[in-house]
Formats: sequence, structure tokens, C-alpha cells
Amino acid sequence: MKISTRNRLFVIGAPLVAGLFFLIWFILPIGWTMGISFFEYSPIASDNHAVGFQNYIEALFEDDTFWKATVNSLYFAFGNVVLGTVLALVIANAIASLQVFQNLAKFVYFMPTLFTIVAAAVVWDEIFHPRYGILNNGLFFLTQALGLPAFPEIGWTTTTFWSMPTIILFGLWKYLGIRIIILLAAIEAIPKMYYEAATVDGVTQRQQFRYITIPLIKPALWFVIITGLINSLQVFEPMYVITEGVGGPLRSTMSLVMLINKSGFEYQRFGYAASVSMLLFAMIMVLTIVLFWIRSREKD
Amino acid sequence: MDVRLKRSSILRPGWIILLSGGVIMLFPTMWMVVSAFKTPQELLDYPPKLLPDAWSLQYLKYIWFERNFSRMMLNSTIVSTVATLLTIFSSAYIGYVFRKFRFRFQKQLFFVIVATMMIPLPVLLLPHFKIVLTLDWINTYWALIAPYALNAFGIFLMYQFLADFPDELIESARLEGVSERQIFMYIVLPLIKAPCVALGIITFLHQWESLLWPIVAANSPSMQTLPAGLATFSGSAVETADLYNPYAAALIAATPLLVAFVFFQRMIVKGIAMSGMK
Repeated sequence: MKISTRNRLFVIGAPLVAGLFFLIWFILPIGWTMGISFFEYSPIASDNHAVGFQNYIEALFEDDTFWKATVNSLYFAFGNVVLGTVLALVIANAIASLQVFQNLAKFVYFMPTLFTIVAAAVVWDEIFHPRYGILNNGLFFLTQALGLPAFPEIGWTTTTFWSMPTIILFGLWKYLGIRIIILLAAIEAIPKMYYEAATVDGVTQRQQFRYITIPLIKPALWFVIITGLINSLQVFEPMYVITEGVGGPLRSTMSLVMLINKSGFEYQRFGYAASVSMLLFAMIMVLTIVLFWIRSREKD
Repeated sequence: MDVRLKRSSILRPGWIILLSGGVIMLFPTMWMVVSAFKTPQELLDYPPKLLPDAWSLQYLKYIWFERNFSRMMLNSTIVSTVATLLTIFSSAYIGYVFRKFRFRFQKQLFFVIVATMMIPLPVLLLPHFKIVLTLDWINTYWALIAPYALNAFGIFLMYQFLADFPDELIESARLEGVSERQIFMYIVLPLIKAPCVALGIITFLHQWESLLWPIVAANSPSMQTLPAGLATFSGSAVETADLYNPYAAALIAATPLLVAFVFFQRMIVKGIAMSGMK
């Protein structure tokens, strides 16, 4: 049968569009980023010149900002993923065993996922304001009313100790819903007869959770952990809003993506920002490979 | 006995965890809604007021009309909608052709496309800016939309979903003399609505929330999207202290998705669960 030109165009159009799009917006850009990471480069300057590995040397050995940002990003990622996964597991399990109000519970826990992240961060910033925020004021008022020692004015967003926990708390709140939904779907897919048989044999609820639920939802758990780590290593919005774009106080909430944005667009140092980008890329690749390796070892 | 059973089930630890957790999950939203109607003075009152004395629309109006949020809402709507429609359509088309046709270098190209999923988007921030700057697209809708008109995840999702699509349907249409384009438009597309809706929901959500790219690609007041404008607004507290109510600004930015969630809860949850955590 003869294929008409129009039909051939339809078929060849897809790889053409896809090829061009990914070439322009992904393949060439990643190559370009790698290239300029060896330059002192700014798109608006004229004295761009090659500097060899100087940008990487600066990031890794000369300036502690990169390491500070790396530690902060890892702090956020692990805090957010470890606590978030445990919490989501507990709550998904509780929702699964609800006989009534299950949809209401899903609605309440999922709502923050639909709460535009910048708006949510603005609200959290206000709630956690050390002096005017409802959190400190509410707790102070409550302790006074109950005759307890006055609640101290904790600098949630203004001290180096509390700033990151506050942002982790924000991340927990914002991303709990999606984790619950994924784990809940896995829990609900477990055949009810497993639990019925276990109950007949006198297995306690806690043991059922440990020996039936957990092993059977392992793929979903891994998914939540791996995607959670990859995504939270790229955290940017909460810091940008809550610490007003500077990653403060004293760089205590400066994340790697913030460092890329800041060194690139504030200091016009694209070369250095590109080297940080490549290091972030490498970090995420290594982490992904390690996680998949652990996972595959666990399978056998 | 029945009554006793019921009472004990309410006091189970699961219920207590869910209830107290639920209050924490809801509180920021509720607090934003009531505070958006307070005066800046009321926001600073001690002891803190739970509800405003008079539900004032003044700050919402001020932010909507005079702080440009109406324009930002329009920008966000245009950018998110166009990017979403383009992503759905192109992903379905490319996913379909890769699944149902054979052509040269198909495997290699597909491998490259899927591999781009490994690239974290912030790593592309600098080169994307360079491209947009070269094309003189800064502060245009093109800049905000073009890099997000298509993505590997969408193509992969469609490709996966089309694995079970019956070939007989396509074959019989072909024998009738229907063109390939028409088969795709009128036979395939209507039958893959579910993944299209799922992909549409997460793409729209992502676009609506996006901050990093919009603050780089479009910083003029008339081209800012809601997240970019809101972040700028909340950082400018000092200059407008007498009219500063960040809750009102946050409420405007957050309302469209929250309202959509109230009406389409099932669809949205299903769509997001289907496409995983993206």
C-alpha cells in the first residue's frame, strides 16, 4: 500500500518536533552549562575568558558558601523526606482504617498540595514571625492564661538554629498530602483477606502493620523516598520567600538552587553558577544511583 | 454494647493523630482567609484577634487593582493554560507516534528524550536565560511558555498508557481510508482522555506554582506571574507599611487552585496520584 505524503508527514513530524525541542531546551543547554563552567562568564559582560577549573576550585576549596549551601540542601532534603515519609505512613495508615469521614480526611490532608507554594510560604512567614506572628503570640497568650511560665519569643525565622527547622516544617506541611495519597493507594491495594487471616490467627494490629503493610507497600515507599530526595535537593521557593531572597540569617537557609540563582543573576557570575549547577547535577545523579543500588540489593 | 464499641473507636490513637494533624494542616489556610480581611493595625494587635472587627475588602481591592495583581492573575492564567495545552497535545502526539510507528533512530531518540528526565530543571536556568536573552524574549509570554511546551515525563506517560491501545481500531480506520492525522485526532485522542487530564492537572499545577524561571525570565510588573509578583510584594513590606496585608495578597494568589480543589477534589487527587509525585 502506498503511504501518502501527508501521512508520512504526520509520522515524521513527531520525532522532528521532539528532537528539535529537546535539542534546543535540554541537550545543548546542558552542554553549554558544562562549557561555561570553565569560564569567567556573564551574558552582559565583554571580558569573558576561560579560567580552567578555577570555578570548581573556588566552589569546592576556596569559598565555604558552596559547602554551606550543600549542607543546608541535604539538611532540608533528609529532614523533609525522613520525617515526611514516617508521618505520611502513620497518617495514611490511620486514614485507611477510617470507616467514616475518609474523604474529608483526604481533603484536609491534601489541601496544602493545592496551596500555591509562594502564597503558602508568605502565610507561614507571617505565622512564624517572632514578634507579630500568631504562633509565638498564641503560645505566649496560652501559657499566660494557664498560669505557666511565659513562652519565650522564639526566633523561628531569624535565628540560625531555628530557620531551617521552620522551613523543614513548611516542607512537611506542603508535601505531606502527596505522600499520603501515594502510600494510601498502595495500602488500599493490599487484599483485605491478608488482614482477616492474620486477625483470625491472633496477630495484633501493630504486627499486621509491621509484617503485612510495610513489606507490601515497599515499592511505593521507595518511590516516595527517591523522588522526595531528588526534588527536595532542588528546594528554592520556601527559602526565597521566608528568608526574603537572601537565604539568611547568616546563610543558614541558603540552598544550592538559591546559590545558583544568586551567583548567576545577582553577581552576574554565570561561570561560577554553572559550576555549582554541574555539581548539583552530579550530586543528584550519584544519590539516585546509590538509592537504586540499595533498592536492588534489598530486593534479592 | 454497640454504643461502647463506637465510643472506644473515637478515642483510638488513630483518630487523635488524624484530628490534631488535620487542625495543623488546615490552620494556615483558615488563618490566611480571616486575616486577609483585617486592617494592618489589626494584624499587629495584642492579644491577637482571631477574626477581624469589620470584614474589610480594602486591602484585597488595593492589592488587586493598585498592586497589579489583576494583571499577574491574567499572566499566570495565560502562561499556565497555554503551557498545559501544548504539553498535553504534543505529549500525546509524540507518545502515540513513538508507540505505534517505526522509523529510523527511534530507539536512540526515545532513549535521549527519557534521559532528559534526569536533568534537574534548575541546572537549565542559566542556558535558558541565555537563549531567551539572545532571542530578545525577556518579559514576553514566549519566554515563560516555550521551555515548558513539552516534557519527557509527558511523552513517557502517554507512551506507557498507549501500550494497551488496540491496534485493530487504528487498522480498521486505516482501511476505511482515514488519514493518520484524523485517526490520531478523532479516534486516539478521545480514548486517552484519562492520562491527558492527569498530565494536564500536574502540568498546570507546576506552571501555576513556578517561581524560579518566572523571576528570571519576566521581571517587569506587567509580565510578572502571580508567584513572582507575590514574592516581590512580600519582600517590599517597608515601603507600603500602612497598606501592607500579605495575607490578602496570598489569598488572591492561592484562591484559584484552592477553589478548583473544592470542586474537583476526586479528579485532581486521582490525576496527581496517577502521574506520581511530580
